[in-house]
Amino acid sequence: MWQRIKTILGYTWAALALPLVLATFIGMNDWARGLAAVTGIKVSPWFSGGEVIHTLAEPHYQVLIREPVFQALVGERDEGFVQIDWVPTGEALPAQIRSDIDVWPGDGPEFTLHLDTVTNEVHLEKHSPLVLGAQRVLNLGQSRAVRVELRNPR
Amino acid sequence: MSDTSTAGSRSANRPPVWKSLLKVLPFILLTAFMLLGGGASSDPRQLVPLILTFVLISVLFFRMVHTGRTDRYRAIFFITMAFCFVLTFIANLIEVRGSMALTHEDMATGQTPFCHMVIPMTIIPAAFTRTIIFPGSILDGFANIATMFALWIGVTLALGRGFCSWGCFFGGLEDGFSRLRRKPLLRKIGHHWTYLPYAVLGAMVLLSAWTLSPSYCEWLCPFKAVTEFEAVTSTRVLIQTIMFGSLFVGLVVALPILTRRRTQCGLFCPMGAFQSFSNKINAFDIRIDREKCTDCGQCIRVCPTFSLDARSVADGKTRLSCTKCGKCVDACPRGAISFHVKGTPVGHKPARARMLFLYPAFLFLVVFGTGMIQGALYRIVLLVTTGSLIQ
Repeated sequence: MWQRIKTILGYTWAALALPLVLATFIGMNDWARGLAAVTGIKVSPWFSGGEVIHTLAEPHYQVLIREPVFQALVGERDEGFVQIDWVPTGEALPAQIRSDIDVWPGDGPEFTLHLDTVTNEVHLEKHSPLVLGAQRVLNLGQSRAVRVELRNPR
Repeated sequence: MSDTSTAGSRSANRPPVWKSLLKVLPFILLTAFMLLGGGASSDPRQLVPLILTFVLISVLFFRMVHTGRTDRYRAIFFITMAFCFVLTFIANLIEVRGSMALTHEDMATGQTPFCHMVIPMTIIPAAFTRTIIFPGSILDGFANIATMFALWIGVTLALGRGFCSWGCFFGGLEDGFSRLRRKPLLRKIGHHWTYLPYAVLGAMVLLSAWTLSPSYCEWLCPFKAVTEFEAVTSTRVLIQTIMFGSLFVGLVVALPILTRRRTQCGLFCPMGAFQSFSNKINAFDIRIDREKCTDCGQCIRVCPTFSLDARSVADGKTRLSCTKCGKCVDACPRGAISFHVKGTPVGHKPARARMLFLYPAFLFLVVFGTGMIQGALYRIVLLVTTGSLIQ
Protein backbone atom coordinates (compact mmCIF):
# COMPACT_ATOMS: atom_id res chain seq x y z
CA MET A 1 0.00 0.00 0.00
CA TRP A 2 2.74 2.45 1.05
CA GLN A 3 4.74 1.57 -2.07
CA ARG A 4 1.68 2.30 -4.19
CA ILE A 5 1.20 5.71 -2.56
CA LYS A 6 4.88 6.49 -3.06
CA THR A 7 4.64 5.49 -6.72
CA ILE A 8 1.60 7.71 -7.30
CA LEU A 9 3.24 10.64 -5.52
CA GLY A 10 6.45 10.10 -7.49
CA TYR A 11 4.71 10.06 -10.86
CA THR A 12 2.61 13.09 -9.89
CA TRP A 13 5.69 15.10 -8.97
CA ALA A 14 7.45 13.90 -12.13
CA ALA A 15 4.47 14.79 -14.33
CA LEU A 16 4.44 18.30 -12.85
CA ALA A 17 7.95 18.96 -14.16
CA LEU A 18 6.72 19.71 -17.68
CA PRO A 19 3.99 22.22 -16.68
CA LEU A 20 6.55 23.75 -14.33
CA VAL A 21 9.00 24.36 -17.18
CA LEU A 22 6.22 25.73 -19.40
CA ALA A 23 4.95 28.00 -16.62
CA THR A 24 8.49 29.18 -15.91
CA PHE A 25 8.97 30.41 -19.47
CA ILE A 26 5.44 31.61 -20.20
CA GLY A 27 5.09 33.54 -16.95
CA MET A 28 8.74 34.51 -16.60
CA ASN A 29 8.16 38.28 -16.48
CA ASP A 30 5.23 37.96 -14.09
CA TRP A 31 7.17 35.59 -11.82
CA ALA A 32 10.06 38.03 -11.84
CA ARG A 33 7.87 41.01 -10.93
CA GLY A 34 6.10 38.94 -8.26
CA LEU A 35 9.39 37.77 -6.80
CA ALA A 36 10.72 41.32 -6.65
CA ALA A 37 7.51 42.60 -5.07
CA VAL A 38 7.17 39.81 -2.50
CA THR A 39 10.78 39.95 -1.34
CA GLY A 40 11.13 43.74 -1.67
CA ILE A 41 14.68 43.03 -2.73
CA LYS A 42 16.93 45.79 -4.09
CA VAL A 43 20.45 46.03 -5.47
CA SER A 44 23.02 46.52 -2.73
CA PRO A 45 23.88 50.21 -2.26
CA TRP A 46 27.56 49.26 -2.53
CA PHE A 47 26.78 48.88 -6.24
CA SER A 48 23.77 51.15 -6.85
CA GLY A 49 25.13 54.06 -4.80
CA GLY A 50 22.14 54.18 -2.45
CA GLU A 51 18.85 56.09 -2.40
CA VAL A 52 18.71 59.84 -3.06
CA ILE A 53 18.04 61.64 0.25
CA HIS A 54 18.59 65.32 -0.69
CA THR A 55 18.30 67.22 -3.94
CA LEU A 56 19.90 70.63 -4.41
CA ALA A 57 18.53 72.69 -7.30
CA GLU A 58 21.09 74.85 -9.14
CA PRO A 59 20.38 77.06 -12.20
CA HIS A 60 21.44 74.48 -14.82
CA TYR A 61 21.62 71.23 -12.89
CA GLN A 62 20.58 69.31 -9.81
CA VAL A 63 22.86 67.86 -7.19
CA LEU A 64 21.61 64.54 -5.84
CA ILE A 65 23.00 63.51 -2.46
CA ARG A 66 22.51 59.84 -1.80
CA GLU A 67 22.26 58.07 1.50
CA PRO A 68 25.71 57.31 2.91
CA VAL A 69 26.53 53.62 2.50
CA PHE A 70 27.99 51.75 5.47
CA GLN A 71 26.00 48.56 4.94
CA ALA A 72 27.43 45.39 6.46
CA LEU A 73 25.98 41.89 6.78
CA VAL A 74 25.07 42.75 10.37
CA GLY A 75 25.21 46.34 11.62
CA GLU A 76 27.36 48.89 9.84
CA ARG A 77 30.93 49.17 8.66
CA ASP A 78 33.41 51.70 10.00
CA GLU A 79 34.01 53.12 6.55
CA GLY A 80 31.78 53.66 3.55
CA PHE A 81 30.94 56.31 0.99
CA VAL A 82 28.36 58.81 -0.13
CA GLN A 83 27.57 59.20 -3.82
CA ILE A 84 26.94 62.63 -5.27
CA ASP A 85 25.31 62.92 -8.72
CA TRP A 86 25.11 66.00 -10.92
CA VAL A 87 22.21 65.82 -13.36
CA PRO A 88 21.68 68.57 -15.98
CA THR A 89 18.25 70.17 -16.14
CA GLY A 90 19.03 71.45 -19.64
CA GLU A 91 21.29 69.94 -22.26
CA ALA A 92 24.58 69.62 -20.46
CA LEU A 93 26.38 70.32 -17.23
CA PRO A 94 28.50 73.47 -16.91
CA ALA A 95 32.23 72.95 -17.46
CA GLN A 96 33.08 73.81 -13.84
CA ILE A 97 30.94 72.93 -10.84
CA ARG A 98 31.46 73.70 -7.17
CA SER A 99 29.16 71.96 -4.71
CA ASP A 100 29.09 72.20 -0.92
CA ILE A 101 27.78 68.91 0.36
CA ASP A 102 26.04 68.60 3.69
CA VAL A 103 25.59 64.87 4.15
CA TRP A 104 24.29 65.07 7.70
CA PRO A 105 22.39 68.40 7.83
CA GLY A 106 22.74 70.58 10.87
CA ASP A 107 26.47 71.22 11.24
CA GLY A 108 27.40 72.70 7.87
CA PRO A 109 28.87 71.03 4.78
CA GLU A 110 31.24 68.12 5.38
CA PHE A 111 33.07 68.71 2.10
CA THR A 112 33.18 70.74 -1.09
CA LEU A 113 33.63 69.17 -4.51
CA HIS A 114 35.16 71.02 -7.46
CA LEU A 115 34.21 69.11 -10.58
CA ASP A 116 35.59 69.69 -14.06
CA THR A 117 33.03 68.06 -16.37
CA VAL A 118 35.32 68.38 -19.40
CA THR A 119 38.34 66.54 -18.01
CA ASN A 120 36.28 64.56 -15.47
CA GLU A 121 38.59 65.54 -12.66
CA VAL A 122 37.42 66.24 -9.16
CA HIS A 123 39.02 68.07 -6.27
CA LEU A 124 37.84 67.36 -2.75
CA GLU A 125 37.97 70.01 -0.04
CA LYS A 126 37.42 68.39 3.36
CA HIS A 127 35.65 70.23 6.17
CA SER A 128 35.25 67.27 8.49
CA PRO A 129 37.54 64.54 9.80
CA LEU A 130 34.89 62.03 8.73
CA VAL A 131 35.74 62.67 5.07
CA LEU A 132 38.48 60.36 3.79
CA GLY A 133 38.85 60.90 0.03
CA ALA A 134 37.16 60.97 -3.37
CA GLN A 135 37.03 58.17 -5.91
CA ARG A 136 37.24 58.77 -9.66
CA VAL A 137 34.45 60.57 -11.52
CA LEU A 138 31.80 58.32 -13.05
CA ASN A 139 30.83 59.56 -16.50
CA LEU A 140 27.12 58.68 -16.81
CA GLY A 141 26.30 60.21 -20.20
CA GLN A 142 25.24 63.81 -19.53
CA SER A 143 25.43 63.27 -15.78
CA ARG A 144 28.43 62.80 -13.53
CA ALA A 145 28.80 61.07 -10.17
CA VAL A 146 31.50 60.86 -7.52
CA ARG A 147 31.78 58.64 -4.50
CA VAL A 148 33.33 60.28 -1.46
CA GLU A 149 34.71 57.90 1.13
CA LEU A 150 33.54 58.55 4.67
CA ARG A 151 34.18 57.33 8.17
CA ASN A 152 31.05 56.17 9.95
CA PRO A 153 30.09 58.78 12.61
CA ARG A 154 28.31 56.18 14.79
CA MET B 1 29.45 -7.52 -23.63
CA SER B 2 31.01 -4.94 -25.94
CA ASP B 3 29.73 -1.52 -26.97
CA THR B 4 29.04 -2.89 -30.42
CA SER B 5 26.72 -5.55 -29.08
CA THR B 6 24.98 -2.92 -26.93
CA ALA B 7 24.43 -0.79 -30.00
CA GLY B 8 23.21 -3.86 -31.81
CA SER B 9 20.69 -4.80 -29.12
CA ARG B 10 19.56 -1.18 -28.87
CA SER B 11 19.03 -1.11 -32.62
CA ALA B 12 17.02 -4.35 -32.46
CA ASN B 13 14.84 -2.93 -29.67
CA ARG B 14 13.95 0.25 -31.53
CA PRO B 15 10.24 1.00 -31.68
CA PRO B 16 8.55 1.43 -35.06
CA VAL B 17 9.10 4.88 -36.57
CA TRP B 18 5.41 5.78 -36.33
CA LYS B 19 5.42 5.09 -32.59
CA SER B 20 8.44 7.31 -32.09
CA LEU B 21 6.81 10.01 -34.21
CA LEU B 22 3.70 9.88 -32.05
CA LYS B 23 5.81 10.31 -28.93
CA VAL B 24 7.71 13.21 -30.47
CA LEU B 25 4.78 15.07 -32.02
CA PRO B 26 3.48 16.71 -28.81
CA PHE B 27 7.01 17.90 -28.09
CA ILE B 28 7.38 19.41 -31.55
CA LEU B 29 4.03 21.20 -31.19
CA LEU B 30 4.96 22.46 -27.72
CA THR B 31 8.31 23.69 -28.99
CA ALA B 32 6.67 25.43 -31.94
CA PHE B 33 4.22 27.09 -29.55
CA MET B 34 7.04 28.22 -27.24
CA LEU B 35 9.32 29.45 -29.99
CA LEU B 36 6.76 30.99 -32.32
CA GLY B 37 4.10 31.99 -29.78
CA GLY B 38 5.24 35.61 -29.75
CA GLY B 39 5.28 35.76 -33.56
CA ALA B 40 8.30 35.11 -35.73
CA SER B 41 10.32 37.92 -37.27
CA SER B 42 9.68 38.65 -40.95
CA ASP B 43 13.39 39.44 -41.42
CA PRO B 44 14.76 36.42 -43.28
CA ARG B 45 18.08 36.82 -41.46
CA GLN B 46 16.18 36.07 -38.23
CA LEU B 47 13.57 33.71 -39.64
CA VAL B 48 15.92 31.32 -41.47
CA PRO B 49 18.09 30.68 -38.35
CA LEU B 50 14.90 30.08 -36.33
CA ILE B 51 13.59 27.54 -38.83
CA LEU B 52 16.99 25.80 -39.01
CA THR B 53 17.14 25.60 -35.21
CA PHE B 54 13.60 24.26 -35.04
CA VAL B 55 14.44 21.54 -37.57
CA LEU B 56 17.56 20.64 -35.58
CA ILE B 57 15.52 20.40 -32.36
CA SER B 58 12.90 18.18 -33.98
CA VAL B 59 15.47 15.84 -35.53
CA LEU B 60 17.46 15.55 -32.29
CA PHE B 61 14.41 14.79 -30.17
CA PHE B 62 13.16 12.23 -32.66
CA ARG B 63 16.57 10.53 -32.68
CA MET B 64 16.67 10.63 -28.88
CA VAL B 65 13.29 8.94 -28.60
CA HIS B 66 13.73 6.53 -31.48
CA THR B 67 17.24 5.30 -30.72
CA GLY B 68 16.92 5.32 -26.92
CA ARG B 69 20.19 7.26 -26.66
CA THR B 70 20.04 10.37 -24.54
CA ASP B 71 23.47 11.91 -24.10
CA ARG B 72 24.57 11.83 -27.74
CA TYR B 73 21.67 14.02 -28.94
CA ARG B 74 21.46 16.14 -25.81
CA ALA B 75 25.12 16.98 -26.16
CA ILE B 76 24.76 18.15 -29.77
CA PHE B 77 22.28 20.85 -28.78
CA PHE B 78 23.91 21.58 -25.42
CA ILE B 79 27.36 22.15 -26.87
CA THR B 80 26.05 24.11 -29.85
CA MET B 81 24.09 26.33 -27.48
CA ALA B 82 27.17 27.03 -25.36
CA PHE B 83 29.42 28.07 -28.22
CA CYS B 84 26.59 30.08 -29.79
CA PHE B 85 25.99 31.80 -26.46
CA VAL B 86 29.60 32.96 -26.32
CA LEU B 87 29.51 34.26 -29.89
CA THR B 88 26.16 36.04 -29.43
CA PHE B 89 27.01 37.46 -26.02
CA ILE B 90 30.37 38.88 -27.08
CA ALA B 91 28.94 40.30 -30.32
CA ASN B 92 26.09 41.94 -28.38
CA LEU B 93 28.50 43.41 -25.83
CA ILE B 94 30.71 44.87 -28.52
CA GLU B 95 27.67 46.25 -30.32
CA VAL B 96 26.23 47.88 -27.19
CA ARG B 97 29.35 48.83 -25.20
CA GLY B 98 32.15 48.67 -27.72
CA SER B 99 34.09 46.06 -25.74
CA MET B 100 33.87 43.03 -23.46
CA ALA B 101 35.19 45.12 -20.59
CA LEU B 102 32.83 46.27 -17.91
CA THR B 103 33.39 49.83 -16.68
CA HIS B 104 32.66 51.34 -13.28
CA GLU B 105 29.94 53.35 -15.00
CA ASP B 106 28.25 50.15 -16.27
CA MET B 107 28.31 48.73 -12.77
CA ALA B 108 27.07 51.91 -11.07
CA THR B 109 24.10 52.05 -13.43
CA GLY B 110 23.22 48.37 -12.99
CA GLN B 111 24.01 47.30 -16.53
CA THR B 112 25.71 44.00 -15.74
CA PRO B 113 23.72 40.97 -16.93
CA PHE B 114 23.01 38.68 -13.97
CA CYS B 115 24.39 35.19 -14.23
CA HIS B 116 23.23 32.05 -12.42
CA MET B 117 26.76 31.31 -11.17
CA VAL B 118 26.47 34.08 -8.58
CA ILE B 119 23.17 32.86 -7.09
CA PRO B 120 24.64 30.89 -4.13
CA MET B 121 26.75 33.90 -3.14
CA THR B 122 23.76 36.25 -3.01
CA ILE B 123 21.47 34.28 -0.72
CA ILE B 124 22.97 35.00 2.75
CA PRO B 125 23.43 38.74 2.06
CA ALA B 126 19.89 38.88 0.67
CA ALA B 127 18.51 37.22 3.79
CA PHE B 128 20.32 39.64 6.12
CA THR B 129 20.23 42.91 4.17
CA ARG B 130 17.38 42.38 1.66
CA THR B 131 19.75 43.46 -1.07
CA ILE B 132 21.46 41.60 -3.89
CA ILE B 133 25.22 41.95 -4.01
CA PHE B 134 25.51 42.32 -7.75
CA PRO B 135 25.86 45.39 -9.99
CA GLY B 136 22.80 44.52 -12.07
CA SER B 137 19.18 45.57 -12.17
CA ILE B 138 16.31 43.89 -10.32
CA LEU B 139 13.76 44.15 -13.14
CA ASP B 140 15.16 46.21 -16.00
CA GLY B 141 17.21 45.23 -18.99
CA PHE B 142 18.67 42.02 -20.36
CA ALA B 143 19.21 39.12 -17.89
CA ASN B 144 17.93 41.08 -14.93
CA ILE B 145 18.21 39.64 -11.44
CA ALA B 146 14.54 38.79 -10.77
CA THR B 147 14.07 37.05 -14.14
CA MET B 148 17.18 34.94 -13.70
CA PHE B 149 16.06 33.94 -10.19
CA ALA B 150 12.57 33.01 -11.49
CA LEU B 151 14.14 30.88 -14.23
CA TRP B 152 16.49 29.22 -11.78
CA ILE B 153 13.73 28.39 -9.29
CA GLY B 154 11.59 26.87 -12.06
CA VAL B 155 14.34 24.73 -13.54
CA THR B 156 15.62 23.67 -10.14
CA LEU B 157 12.22 22.37 -9.08
CA ALA B 158 11.75 20.63 -12.44
CA LEU B 159 15.22 19.18 -13.06
CA GLY B 160 17.35 19.55 -9.92
CA ARG B 161 21.01 19.47 -10.89
CA GLY B 162 19.85 18.38 -14.30
CA PHE B 163 20.14 22.10 -15.01
CA CYS B 164 23.92 21.64 -15.32
CA SER B 165 23.53 19.32 -18.33
CA TRP B 166 20.27 20.62 -19.75
CA GLY B 167 20.52 24.36 -19.33
CA CYS B 168 23.88 25.74 -18.21
CA PHE B 169 25.45 27.39 -21.25
CA PHE B 170 28.84 27.34 -19.54
CA GLY B 171 28.72 23.58 -18.97
CA GLY B 172 28.31 23.08 -22.71
CA LEU B 173 31.74 24.57 -23.37
CA GLU B 174 33.44 21.94 -21.24
CA ASP B 175 31.20 19.23 -22.57
CA GLY B 176 32.41 20.20 -26.03
CA PHE B 177 36.10 20.26 -25.14
CA SER B 178 35.81 16.98 -23.22
CA ARG B 179 34.72 15.21 -26.40
CA LEU B 180 37.65 16.30 -28.56
CA ARG B 181 39.81 13.24 -27.79
CA ARG B 182 38.59 9.69 -28.17
CA LYS B 183 40.57 8.46 -25.17
CA PRO B 184 41.65 10.31 -22.04
CA LEU B 185 45.32 11.03 -21.45
CA LEU B 186 44.76 11.65 -17.76
CA ARG B 187 42.74 8.89 -16.11
CA LYS B 188 43.51 8.98 -12.41
CA ILE B 189 41.95 11.83 -10.53
CA GLY B 190 41.92 11.48 -6.76
CA HIS B 191 38.47 10.94 -5.28
CA HIS B 192 39.06 13.71 -2.73
CA TRP B 193 39.10 16.33 -5.52
CA THR B 194 35.37 15.77 -6.03
CA TYR B 195 34.76 17.52 -2.70
CA LEU B 196 36.55 20.65 -3.88
CA PRO B 197 33.38 22.30 -5.33
CA TYR B 198 31.77 22.14 -1.90
CA ALA B 199 34.85 23.76 -0.36
CA VAL B 200 34.84 26.47 -3.05
CA LEU B 201 31.13 26.97 -2.45
CA GLY B 202 31.57 27.30 1.32
CA ALA B 203 34.52 29.65 1.01
CA MET B 204 32.87 31.85 -1.61
CA VAL B 205 29.54 32.04 0.22
CA LEU B 206 31.24 33.10 3.45
CA LEU B 207 33.62 35.53 1.75
CA SER B 208 30.79 37.11 -0.24
CA ALA B 209 28.69 37.48 2.89
CA TRP B 210 31.62 39.04 4.73
CA THR B 211 32.60 41.47 1.97
CA LEU B 212 29.09 42.00 0.53
CA SER B 213 30.50 41.53 -2.94
CA PRO B 214 30.28 38.56 -5.35
CA SER B 215 33.75 37.19 -4.60
CA TYR B 216 33.50 34.28 -7.03
CA CYS B 217 32.72 36.64 -9.92
CA GLU B 218 35.50 38.96 -8.86
CA TRP B 219 38.23 36.36 -8.49
CA LEU B 220 37.49 32.85 -9.69
CA CYS B 221 34.88 32.62 -12.45
CA PRO B 222 36.60 31.04 -15.49
CA PHE B 223 33.78 32.14 -17.78
CA LYS B 224 34.62 35.82 -17.38
CA ALA B 225 37.24 35.05 -20.00
CA VAL B 226 34.54 34.48 -22.63
CA THR B 227 31.80 36.83 -21.46
CA GLU B 228 32.62 40.11 -19.74
CA PHE B 229 35.20 41.25 -17.25
CA GLU B 230 36.07 44.40 -15.39
CA ALA B 231 38.12 46.85 -17.43
CA VAL B 232 41.77 46.57 -16.35
CA THR B 233 42.43 49.82 -14.50
CA SER B 234 44.51 48.56 -11.58
CA THR B 235 46.93 45.83 -10.55
CA ARG B 236 44.13 44.11 -8.64
CA VAL B 237 41.95 43.89 -11.73
CA LEU B 238 44.91 42.72 -13.80
CA ILE B 239 45.50 39.85 -11.34
CA GLN B 240 41.80 38.99 -11.45
CA THR B 241 41.85 38.94 -15.24
CA ILE B 242 44.89 36.63 -15.28
CA MET B 243 43.03 34.35 -12.84
CA PHE B 244 39.96 34.18 -15.09
CA GLY B 245 42.05 33.41 -18.15
CA SER B 246 44.14 30.76 -16.40
CA LEU B 247 41.13 29.02 -14.88
CA PHE B 248 39.36 29.03 -18.22
CA VAL B 249 42.31 27.56 -20.08
CA GLY B 250 43.02 25.04 -17.32
CA LEU B 251 39.59 23.90 -16.16
CA VAL B 252 37.38 24.48 -19.16
CA VAL B 253 39.72 23.70 -22.05
CA ALA B 254 42.88 21.76 -21.14
CA LEU B 255 41.70 19.41 -18.38
CA PRO B 256 38.45 18.43 -20.13
CA ILE B 257 40.48 17.56 -23.24
CA LEU B 258 42.99 15.54 -21.22
CA THR B 259 40.49 13.76 -18.98
CA ARG B 260 37.36 13.59 -21.19
CA ARG B 261 35.49 14.94 -18.14
CA ARG B 262 33.80 18.21 -17.30
CA THR B 263 36.44 19.22 -14.78
CA GLN B 264 35.15 22.70 -14.00
CA CYS B 265 31.65 21.33 -13.33
CA GLY B 266 32.84 18.29 -11.40
CA LEU B 267 35.84 19.63 -9.51
CA PHE B 268 35.37 23.36 -9.07
CA CYS B 269 31.98 24.92 -9.80
CA PRO B 270 30.32 26.26 -6.62
CA MET B 271 27.01 26.73 -8.43
CA GLY B 272 27.11 23.05 -9.41
CA ALA B 273 27.83 22.07 -5.81
CA PHE B 274 24.94 24.23 -4.64
CA GLN B 275 22.66 22.81 -7.32
CA SER B 276 23.57 19.26 -6.21
CA PHE B 277 21.45 19.71 -3.09
CA SER B 278 18.40 20.35 -5.29
CA ASN B 279 18.68 16.74 -6.49
CA LYS B 280 17.24 15.85 -3.09
CA ILE B 281 13.94 17.59 -3.83
CA ASN B 282 13.72 16.66 -7.51
CA ALA B 283 11.44 13.91 -8.85
CA PHE B 284 14.08 12.30 -11.07
CA ASP B 285 17.29 10.45 -10.48
CA ILE B 286 19.47 7.84 -12.14
CA ARG B 287 19.39 4.37 -10.65
CA ILE B 288 21.35 1.19 -11.20
CA ASP B 289 19.58 -2.16 -11.21
CA ARG B 290 21.94 -4.25 -9.08
CA GLU B 291 20.53 -7.48 -10.48
CA LYS B 292 21.65 -6.53 -13.98
CA CYS B 293 24.88 -4.72 -13.03
CA THR B 294 28.12 -6.66 -13.51
CA ASP B 295 30.35 -3.99 -11.91
CA CYS B 296 32.25 -3.53 -15.15
CA GLY B 297 32.93 0.10 -14.21
CA GLN B 298 32.08 1.53 -17.63
CA CYS B 299 29.64 4.04 -16.10
CA ILE B 300 32.29 5.24 -13.64
CA ARG B 301 34.75 5.76 -16.49
CA VAL B 302 32.38 7.78 -18.68
CA CYS B 303 30.62 9.93 -16.06
CA PRO B 304 31.68 13.49 -16.96
CA THR B 305 31.08 14.95 -13.49
CA PHE B 306 32.62 12.21 -11.31
CA SER B 307 29.15 11.36 -10.01
CA LEU B 308 29.67 7.60 -9.96
CA ASP B 309 32.18 5.60 -7.98
CA ALA B 310 32.45 1.98 -6.87
CA ARG B 311 30.54 2.70 -3.66
CA SER B 312 27.65 4.51 -5.33
CA VAL B 313 27.39 1.79 -7.98
CA ALA B 314 27.27 -0.82 -5.22
CA ASP B 315 24.43 1.19 -3.65
CA GLY B 316 22.64 1.35 -7.00
CA LYS B 317 22.67 5.15 -7.03
CA THR B 318 24.63 8.06 -8.38
CA ARG B 319 26.29 10.56 -6.09
CA LEU B 320 24.51 13.80 -5.21
CA SER B 321 26.35 15.68 -7.97
CA CYS B 322 24.67 13.78 -10.85
CA THR B 323 23.61 16.11 -13.68
CA LYS B 324 21.35 13.53 -15.36
CA CYS B 325 23.13 13.88 -18.69
CA GLY B 326 22.34 10.26 -19.49
CA LYS B 327 25.89 9.31 -20.51
CA CYS B 328 26.06 6.39 -18.09
CA VAL B 329 22.61 5.22 -19.21
CA ASP B 330 23.81 5.16 -22.82
CA ALA B 331 27.11 3.51 -21.94
CA CYS B 332 25.92 0.65 -19.74
CA PRO B 333 26.43 -2.58 -21.74
CA ARG B 334 23.76 -4.40 -19.70
CA GLY B 335 21.11 -1.70 -19.72
CA ALA B 336 21.28 -1.71 -15.93
CA ILE B 337 21.23 2.08 -15.56
CA SER B 338 18.09 4.04 -16.20
CA PHE B 339 16.27 7.28 -15.54
CA HIS B 340 14.05 6.77 -12.53
CA VAL B 341 11.12 8.50 -10.86
CA LYS B 342 11.65 8.67 -7.12
CA GLY B 343 9.21 6.64 -5.10
CA THR B 344 8.83 3.99 -7.80
CA PRO B 345 10.63 0.63 -7.68
CA VAL B 346 14.03 0.57 -9.44
CA GLY B 347 13.72 -0.64 -13.00
CA HIS B 348 9.97 0.03 -12.96
CA LYS B 349 8.99 1.16 -16.49
CA PRO B 350 12.31 2.93 -17.19
CA ALA B 351 11.15 4.06 -20.64
CA ARG B 352 8.25 5.94 -19.05
CA ALA B 353 10.52 7.53 -16.45
CA ARG B 354 12.92 8.58 -19.22
CA MET B 355 10.16 10.21 -21.29
CA LEU B 356 8.81 11.99 -18.21
CA PHE B 357 12.27 13.46 -17.70
CA LEU B 358 13.14 14.13 -21.35
CA TYR B 359 10.06 16.22 -22.06
CA PRO B 360 10.72 18.96 -19.47
CA ALA B 361 14.52 18.69 -19.70
CA PHE B 362 14.83 18.94 -23.47
CA LEU B 363 12.07 21.56 -23.62
CA PHE B 364 14.00 23.69 -21.13
CA LEU B 365 17.18 23.21 -23.12
CA VAL B 366 15.67 24.14 -26.47
CA VAL B 367 13.59 27.10 -25.28
CA PHE B 368 16.55 28.45 -23.33
CA GLY B 369 19.06 27.72 -26.07
CA THR B 370 17.22 28.51 -29.28
CA GLY B 371 17.65 32.27 -28.89
CA MET B 372 21.39 31.75 -28.50
CA ILE B 373 21.70 29.51 -31.56
CA GLN B 374 19.42 31.76 -33.58
CA GLY B 375 21.48 34.76 -32.48
CA ALA B 376 24.74 33.10 -33.48
CA LEU B 377 23.41 32.00 -36.87
CA TYR B 378 22.18 35.55 -37.42
CA ARG B 379 25.67 36.85 -36.64
CA ILE B 380 27.18 34.38 -39.09
CA VAL B 381 24.69 35.48 -41.78
CA LEU B 382 25.66 39.07 -40.94
CA LEU B 383 29.34 38.18 -41.31
CA VAL B 384 28.74 36.59 -44.70
CA THR B 385 26.53 39.39 -46.03
CA THR B 386 28.25 42.46 -44.55
CA GLY B 387 31.73 41.23 -43.64
CA SER B 388 31.20 42.00 -39.93
CA LEU B 389 29.67 40.23 -36.95
CA ILE B 390 28.59 43.59 -35.56
CA GLN B 391 25.68 45.58 -36.89
